[in-house]
Amino acid sequence: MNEQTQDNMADRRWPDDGVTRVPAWLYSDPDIFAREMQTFHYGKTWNFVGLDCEIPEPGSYKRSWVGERPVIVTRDQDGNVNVVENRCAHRGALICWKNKGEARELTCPYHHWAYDLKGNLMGLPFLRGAHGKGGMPRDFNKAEHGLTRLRVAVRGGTIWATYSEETPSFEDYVGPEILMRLDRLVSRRPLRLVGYSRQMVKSNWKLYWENSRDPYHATLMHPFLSTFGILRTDGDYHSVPLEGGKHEYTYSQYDPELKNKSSDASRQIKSIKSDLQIQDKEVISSVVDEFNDGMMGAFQIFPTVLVQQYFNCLVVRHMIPKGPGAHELAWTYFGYADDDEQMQELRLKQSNLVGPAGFVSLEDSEVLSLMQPVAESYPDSVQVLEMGGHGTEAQSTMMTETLIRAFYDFYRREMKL
Amino acid sequence: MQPISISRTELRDFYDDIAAMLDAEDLGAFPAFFTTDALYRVISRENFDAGLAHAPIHCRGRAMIEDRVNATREAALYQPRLLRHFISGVRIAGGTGDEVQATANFLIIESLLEQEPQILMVGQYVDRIVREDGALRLRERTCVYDNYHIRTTLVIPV
Amino acid sequence: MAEWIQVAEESDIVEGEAFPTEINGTAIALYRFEGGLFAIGDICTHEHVRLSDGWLDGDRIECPLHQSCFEIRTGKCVEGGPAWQDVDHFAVKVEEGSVFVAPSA
Repeated sequence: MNEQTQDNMADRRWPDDGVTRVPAWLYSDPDIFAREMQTFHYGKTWNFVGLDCEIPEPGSYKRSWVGERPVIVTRDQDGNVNVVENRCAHRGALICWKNKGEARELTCPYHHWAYDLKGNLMGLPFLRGAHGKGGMPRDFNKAEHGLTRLRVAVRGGTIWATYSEETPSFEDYVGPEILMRLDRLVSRRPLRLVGYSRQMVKSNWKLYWENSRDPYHATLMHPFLSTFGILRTDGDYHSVPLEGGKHEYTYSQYDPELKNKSSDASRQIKSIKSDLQIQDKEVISSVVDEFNDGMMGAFQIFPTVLVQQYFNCLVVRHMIPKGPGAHELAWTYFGYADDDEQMQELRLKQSNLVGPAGFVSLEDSEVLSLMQPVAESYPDSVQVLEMGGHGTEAQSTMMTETLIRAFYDFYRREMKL
Repeated sequence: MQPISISRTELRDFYDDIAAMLDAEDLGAFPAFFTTDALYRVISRENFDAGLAHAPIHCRGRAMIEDRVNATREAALYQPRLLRHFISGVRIAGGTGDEVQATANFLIIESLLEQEPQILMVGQYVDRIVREDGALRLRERTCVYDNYHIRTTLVIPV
Repeated sequence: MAEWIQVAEESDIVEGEAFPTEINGTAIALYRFEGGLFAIGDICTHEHVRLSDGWLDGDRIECPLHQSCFEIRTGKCVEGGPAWQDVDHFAVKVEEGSVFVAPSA
């Protein structure tokens, strides 16, 4: 980090009230964003880069992103998974221009430097010049000019990458609670890729990060949830911060009778429209309890993903920052290789619920994209986070902002703010 | 069963009627353009070309289309917007049994408060059309969008 | 055996240099190595380029583009470069000072 950045950062002071207040400059300051990328995405974290079913065969590759940096995920001829920067070691050109494909090698379009799928430089045109002229110096060593490789972890059907040699093992990084929940979804059966949705959201990545740690908004802003009794404030619900606030999970037991119940809490929510009926019940009630535990929920693995099980819709929401004021939301929907046709169709139907057109998610990007310019207009304003008290402990309610407070507790330590 | 015969003029009118209804956000009229067993999907070119089934909007049967309309009108929150659909290149691609296959390009311009109008989505309709009680109806409409990203949100059916 | 095609005079082909030519539209190169004469396909199996424009090192020709190496006596691809398929090799004979190559590989 250069001195200029440090000087600017020195002016930044967190409000005195601690994690119950979040300053708005956090969402727009380019120096903050640069430090976040260095500290988190390019630091000691495991970043989601894809699913193993996306690169099924030796020679399969796909593009992904770590922070703002483009990377390539490959399966080499030995069957191993590699993650390399999508940046030629020669002049920095983007090597891979397709999102997915099959290849024996990665060749830069600019000067045709050719790398194997592990990122080793195999050859470059006219190393020895032509007709005795030109060429690289005699001491040029191809072994020193491979693509930058990231450390890779594969857990079940998921692939993760880190820039740092100091990042602990993936299992230690996520901790036992997340590991158990991740394995429940991705390690018991081989995965099937159902498809992608990509969404550009003009808001700081943390606004979305907080949004999926915010059960308080869910029944209010997503009227579909309460209308169809999918999730109500009077249902069984747990908000659990983990690993010092870095990760979190939320879960609830699904109660098919909930829509017929009325309670003080649900009466208070104006958005409930109990006369609204859904005709194709399969979307929300023809649910297969495929994990035999009646649970649904989601968990975050910092700093890149929310892994979500919504009934039988399984999806990884990958937040890819694009500067301080925007992020791409890449949704990868998956099922299992042995899903029968009926289950495949059920997952497709239920994916109407979550995604860029999802009944219980479309409001998020609407609100956040309108919130970003407000944050930029009032950089010295603060957000208030007191729902559920001032603490950062696990709570068995939706009426809490404990998960956001816990996140900023972690964030401030790491960012030294 | 003979393939139905549809003139290009009639087909063009059919597409224009759907577009006008969507421009007016008269979504209550949307399901009637479909057969009861219709498949309606809005899917990315990326998924469509790769044979991946996921579609951000996936309605199998008119009941699900009605659910989508009701949820959009009654249980969705989104900023005010005006949409204009520009449909071009309407073509009959073939006919089998009692249906014709047709394709057309769509361009949807979205106007939001405080912003210049922008392209919300561009792509191609891939349709299977039948005649029921004298009227044309969609047995299948797959809206394949070329956009790499959906801009912010997809609310109104395409 | 298909007919032999005359491609060079024996003195044209010297140790340490490739002799590129073609037979029936196929690019080949001839080499002299340890007294023997050899002919192999001259287009790299990785990218379309003449190997004879590359670097001759002992019994190997190294591709000018990405340093894939091929044995000049057999056309065999040497592991380590991006190419993985051999180039063809051709029978060679000398009669009365002229060099002939058999076009069928």
